Amino acid sequence: MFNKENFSAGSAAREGYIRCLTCDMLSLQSVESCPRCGDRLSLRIENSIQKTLALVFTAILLYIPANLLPIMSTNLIGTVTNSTILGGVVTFLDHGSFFIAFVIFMASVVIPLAKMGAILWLCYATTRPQRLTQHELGYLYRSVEFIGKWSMVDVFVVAILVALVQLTGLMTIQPGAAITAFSGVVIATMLAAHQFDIRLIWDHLESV
Amino acid sequence: MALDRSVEGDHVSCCARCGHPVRRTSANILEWTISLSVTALVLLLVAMSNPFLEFSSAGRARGISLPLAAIEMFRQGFPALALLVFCFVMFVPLVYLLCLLVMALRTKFNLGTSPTIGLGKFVSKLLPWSMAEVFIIGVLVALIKIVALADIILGVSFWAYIMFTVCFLKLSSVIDNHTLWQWAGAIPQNKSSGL
Repeated sequence: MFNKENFSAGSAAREGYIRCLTCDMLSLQSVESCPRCGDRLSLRIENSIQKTLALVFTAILLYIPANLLPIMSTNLIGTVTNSTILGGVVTFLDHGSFFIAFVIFMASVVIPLAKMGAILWLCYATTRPQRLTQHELGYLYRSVEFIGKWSMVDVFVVAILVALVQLTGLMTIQPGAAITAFSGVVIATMLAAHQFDIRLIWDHLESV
Repeated sequence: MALDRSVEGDHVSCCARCGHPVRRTSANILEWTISLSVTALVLLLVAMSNPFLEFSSAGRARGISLPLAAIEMFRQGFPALALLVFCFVMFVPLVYLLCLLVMALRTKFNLGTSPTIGLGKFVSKLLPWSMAEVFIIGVLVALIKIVALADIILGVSFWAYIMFTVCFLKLSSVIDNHTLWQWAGAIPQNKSSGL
């Protein structure tokens, strides 16, 4: 399946080496499993793009209920208010807390969308001639990987509010179904980023 | 094929092709790791066993501890989320620190009889799932949401958790995968053989 000529000059794959994804050790390609940590070696993650795409589409599907369903419901002396993610942002804007509105908007809306878009683009870019340079694509991937967990902010906000605001009869907060969907989005995109094999970006070096 | 070990002290080696840091070396990395992980562990245990926040309004109050933040989700019928919060905020950092400490102590004092490959694998897969710093931001946002509604008292645990996060972030910036695997892959020398 793998042909040496497909790999860019100077890469370990072209020189007959293979890198262990767990412990970063280089071994000869004739070795089946890593001599240091024992993990199975493979030149590129098998079906990396398909696995990544499957996880991103899962995330996209989960993103729909995450935004449509209420993320929590507040019971203030008998009056129940359901709030969605975007509803929370709007509430903060109404109260004039622009900075918090910005943080929530970035963490819950912009970052997940940007992350899913970036992963889709990376999958596309490894199979087609690219507009971005490999350097930029590499940077894009590292950013996606770094930013992955920051979308969990909203889940933690709800967890703290639900735990803290439990004054029965006066003020209580219940979690909503959207929170499960939303943490699903975060986890699926993180797994998608882990499944994407960054080395694929450089495999087409000559073709640019 | 092992890495060039001649690079010592505080250095960052970068990839010639993409410029990404490949390897980071720090002076006294073993001592740094041991002291930071012990400090972080103590702070985390303090944070888990003391009052975290207290919320009071109209003469009624409710105080929570850190584990209760997860348990309340469970009570409200969201067991999966309770588990996620508990793991990401407390359990993963705790296990990560313990494993790291075991590996560092073993290397430093030349203990044990076999390499710690299993621990090494576990630790390198665990790190992306530790979300202490994200949790802190979440707590701050939650506080801003309710600060106008009621009085809030910040407990000992709150400050301990912040200090813990600082230590944890410093630790994860000091440790790099190659160093970790040098520790994990090292075969302890038998002290009685006189080596």
